[in-house]
Amino acid sequence: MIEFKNVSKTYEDTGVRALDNVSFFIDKGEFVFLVGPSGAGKSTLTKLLIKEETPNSGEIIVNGFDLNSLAKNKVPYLRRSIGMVFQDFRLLPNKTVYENVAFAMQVIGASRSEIRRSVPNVLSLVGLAHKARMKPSQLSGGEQQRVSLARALVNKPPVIIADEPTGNLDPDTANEIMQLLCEINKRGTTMIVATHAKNFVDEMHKRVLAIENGILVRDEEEGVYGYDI
Amino acid sequence: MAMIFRNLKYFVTQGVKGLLANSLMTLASIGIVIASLVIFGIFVLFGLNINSIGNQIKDQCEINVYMPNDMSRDNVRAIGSQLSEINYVKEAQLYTKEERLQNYKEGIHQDQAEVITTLEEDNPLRDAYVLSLTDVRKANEVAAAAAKIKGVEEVTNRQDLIKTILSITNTIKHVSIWLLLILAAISIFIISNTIKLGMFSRRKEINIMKFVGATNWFIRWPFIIEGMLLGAVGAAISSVIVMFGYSSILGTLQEFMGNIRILEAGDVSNIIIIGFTLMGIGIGMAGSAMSIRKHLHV
Ligand SMILES: Nc1ncnc2c1ncn2[C@@H]1O[C@H](COP(=O)(O)OP(=O)(O)OP(=O)(O)O)[C@@H](O)[C@H]1O
Ligand SMILES: [Mg+2]
Repeated sequence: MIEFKNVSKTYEDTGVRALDNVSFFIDKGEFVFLVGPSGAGKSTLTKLLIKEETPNSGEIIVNGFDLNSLAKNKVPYLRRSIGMVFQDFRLLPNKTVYENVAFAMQVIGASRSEIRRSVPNVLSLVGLAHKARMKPSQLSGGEQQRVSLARALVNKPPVIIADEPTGNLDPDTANEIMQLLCEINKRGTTMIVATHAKNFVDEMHKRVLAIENGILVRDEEEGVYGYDI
Repeated sequence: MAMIFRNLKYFVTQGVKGLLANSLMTLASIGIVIASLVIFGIFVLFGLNINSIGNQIKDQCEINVYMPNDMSRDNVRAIGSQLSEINYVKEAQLYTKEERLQNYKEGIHQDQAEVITTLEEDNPLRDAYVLSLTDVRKANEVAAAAAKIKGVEEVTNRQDLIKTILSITNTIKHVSIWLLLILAAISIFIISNTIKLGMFSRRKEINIMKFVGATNWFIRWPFIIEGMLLGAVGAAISSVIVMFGYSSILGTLQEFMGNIRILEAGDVSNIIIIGFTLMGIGIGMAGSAMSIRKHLHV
């Protein structure tokens, strides 16, 4: 469950008002597309969700954490409840696929046996079980994206946020990834996908939040992308 | 706290990896810790010995009163009875020059017997009274009174020596504390730079750790352990160097000091080893803490 109440964010250094009085509510298990022109404020919104940035005003509640009153040393627990999939993957080049995913469990103190049980599961879910021993540099972009997704999934967070998960991918691979996100959402995980991929948004008939110049201009149940690319 | 023990293996592995990755800086750090602790150790050993010498002399807090070499035994005894009447004198014990020569003979090596023969022919020693006191704090007063007695040639008062030794001990204490502070500061600076390099080379990893919800302490511990390891390894090596060095000069030193006992290796090993370990680890942790504060914004 995610709630924004009149959230505004201005970046101090540039003076850019990236979000302006944004309010919405996302229920458990929803699938939501976040759309809008470049520079609209989508990434800013996801950064606020994991408290990488803090709003100038307004309230944000994520999975029961009130981010305004959340102490600094509790931020890790907020982040454990959110799986982030980054557009640039953010994988560790010197670790194997398996180790990259296991790393996410290791650093929150999971036991060896838990790691040995969960990592192969999640790797086969994203279809990479057979490439567990490879390094990221030996994988295609789509495969790296899936490792990044596996890492976000492995701790079974209730919410997944994917920032342009298909940005660098060819149409077929992009399609695979999008199907995978849908699949995971069907298992009960709340899914927030910031994207420029018009075709997916238009075809999938999911909820769409559209942001322009920091303002939430649209919130449609079965929305469309709505911009020319 | 439980988190540390549960993940200890991970933290230590990461810490060791971090050190091996920057082996040059690691060696420099360990080197500077060794240099600091060895220098400090030399001062500590010096201080401990001076202190122990002071205590040994304090125990034999006596005043020696020497008569001229050519004074007749009767005159000597007359002075002796005057000496025993001085306030605070418990006893005035006479050691004749013959007795003193005998003592001296027993104290030196057989192969120097030739010297003894010449000494026996013309004994250069003087008759002496050793005054023991009822109150050692009055030593200066008694010595002054003894010196005033006519015919007394020389009065030696160990009290002065004790004072000198105490002041040397004090100076050494101050110098070593300052030295320790300066050396520790240099070590901490170098260690913190070593750990900073580790942080920079792992900043991508640290970033990901933050995003997947590693706690701040989880991120910090490998670096703290890195610092502790640097300090501990430095302490271990410098303990070996200092103890080995001390043992090897001990014999010569003891010979040189004669009947004043020098501390055995066993007397100082605990202080050195435990002290070095604590200081080494402390310095290492301080170095880690410094770069964590400055560079690890978690
Ligand atoms: N760290 C920052 N410091 C200053 N300004 C920033 C920062 N990050 C983003 N901005 C500004 O905030 C605005 C919104 O940026 P944001 O990254 O949220 O856009 P976006 O919708 O994700 O765009 P895109 O689709 O290109 O990823 C932009 O004008 C950007 O220049
Ligand atoms: Mg963006």
